[in-house]
Amino acid sequence: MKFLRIFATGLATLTLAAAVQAAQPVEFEFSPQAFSYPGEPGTFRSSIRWGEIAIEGHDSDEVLITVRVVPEHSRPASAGPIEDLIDLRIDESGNVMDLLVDSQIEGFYGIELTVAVPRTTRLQLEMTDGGEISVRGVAGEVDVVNRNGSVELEGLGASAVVDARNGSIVASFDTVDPELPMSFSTLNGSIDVTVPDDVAADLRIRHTYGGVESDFLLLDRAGKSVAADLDTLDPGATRVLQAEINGGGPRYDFFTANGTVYLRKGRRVAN
Amino acid sequence: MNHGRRNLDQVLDLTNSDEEKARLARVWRDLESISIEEPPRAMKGEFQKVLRTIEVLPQRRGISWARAATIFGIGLLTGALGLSVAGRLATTASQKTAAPHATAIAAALPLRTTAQRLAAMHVVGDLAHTEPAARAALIHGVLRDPIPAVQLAAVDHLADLNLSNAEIEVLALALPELGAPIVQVMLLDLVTPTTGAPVAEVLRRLSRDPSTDTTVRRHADRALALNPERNDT
Repeated sequence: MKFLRIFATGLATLTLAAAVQAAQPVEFEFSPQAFSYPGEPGTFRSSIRWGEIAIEGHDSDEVLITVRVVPEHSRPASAGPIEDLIDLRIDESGNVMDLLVDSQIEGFYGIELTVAVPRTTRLQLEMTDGGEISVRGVAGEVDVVNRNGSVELEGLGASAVVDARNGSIVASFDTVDPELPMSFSTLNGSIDVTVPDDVAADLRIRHTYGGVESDFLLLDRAGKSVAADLDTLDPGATRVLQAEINGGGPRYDFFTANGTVYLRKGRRVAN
Repeated sequence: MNHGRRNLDQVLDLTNSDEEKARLARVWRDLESISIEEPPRAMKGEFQKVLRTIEVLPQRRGISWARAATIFGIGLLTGALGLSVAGRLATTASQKTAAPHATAIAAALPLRTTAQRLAAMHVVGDLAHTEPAARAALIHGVLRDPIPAVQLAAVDHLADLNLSNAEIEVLALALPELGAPIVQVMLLDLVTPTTGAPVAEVLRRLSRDPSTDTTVRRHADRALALNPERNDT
């Protein structure tokens, strides 16, 4: 097991890209990391409070991590340098890599996490207080929880389970795993999902204060068309739309209380 | 040997990775150390009946996750059997030990991702039309699963069933404790048609609690308005 504690052991390369001053962002760049078994898909996990998580798949076995800490403007200089108050660790075991952020900084600060991972990596990402999460070009399964902010996923290649809570979800898939279910849920926001036009799936859409728009012909199990644009006559009544596309397949669930669900056709892109 | 450990043995036989075997073996030893009171005979009979049903799952269409989902379902059911569907959460000694038991089993399973856990919940949901224990597993999923997507899937499957007032009451009582507002909203739709006093009390609490999400409060208000007799108390 590789265990990196940058301030205690100095195993990581630490670059201070900004001056150590109050209210100045500080950037930490880790030395390239690797999974224990580079030939097999690894899992990258991280959970932060505020800020931004941006993940991109690349054609390399390395995991490249940059963390930018953005303190609040009113942070007094007497509070001490940020790098003394924040502890960033990478813990890798069994092909699962955790980026752990432990902070003694009081008040608001944002963590901007930029990571490049091998394309086949599975992702488990969480933002507990607020910010944006984006993922691009990752062919592994993606699992995202963002409690106050939007989620943008682009060029995915397997499946996604997303709970945005307060924020919109935009997701596009180059291809999908034909056996895995998906789920997209948000309390306040729209859900906009683009999948290859030949994807076969069973859809289940529950929406309360919003509508559904679909490029796909939605059919019930008897082969009859299901009206997608369900304007609710009783505001507040949750509408349930159950349909198959291309003959049906794994379940794709959509849940939104305040927002519209858009289901769009895209083109399948070979990996 | 209990069912959970027997199924872990099967997993150990099937897995190829030495590291995975070592990890599972550790969990197996942990299970040994858990003192689990045997469930009542009636529960065991129900559990075994569900097991027999689940064993035929690999023949079903489109369930290539059957092995993983089956074992996970067993874990869920083990935990669910500790849930009193009659009205309250676990209170007896055996019920208290069932939840960590199920958790330990679930931790040992080859379900590494949320999507796989979701697939397992859908398998349990399909079973719930014919198996009472699977219904309990769905309720357990709503109340205990930490992943909103899995909770929502369980709610969605429960919505397809004719739930008893007792089952709805269990779900309603848990409403204020659920962490994800979207799960609360979708669950409120399930309990809206029920007029029992305990459910009405929960709805009133949600409706008046300023710390509750605005949409949830609005939905609770709506549920109360749809059953005017609830406002009489």
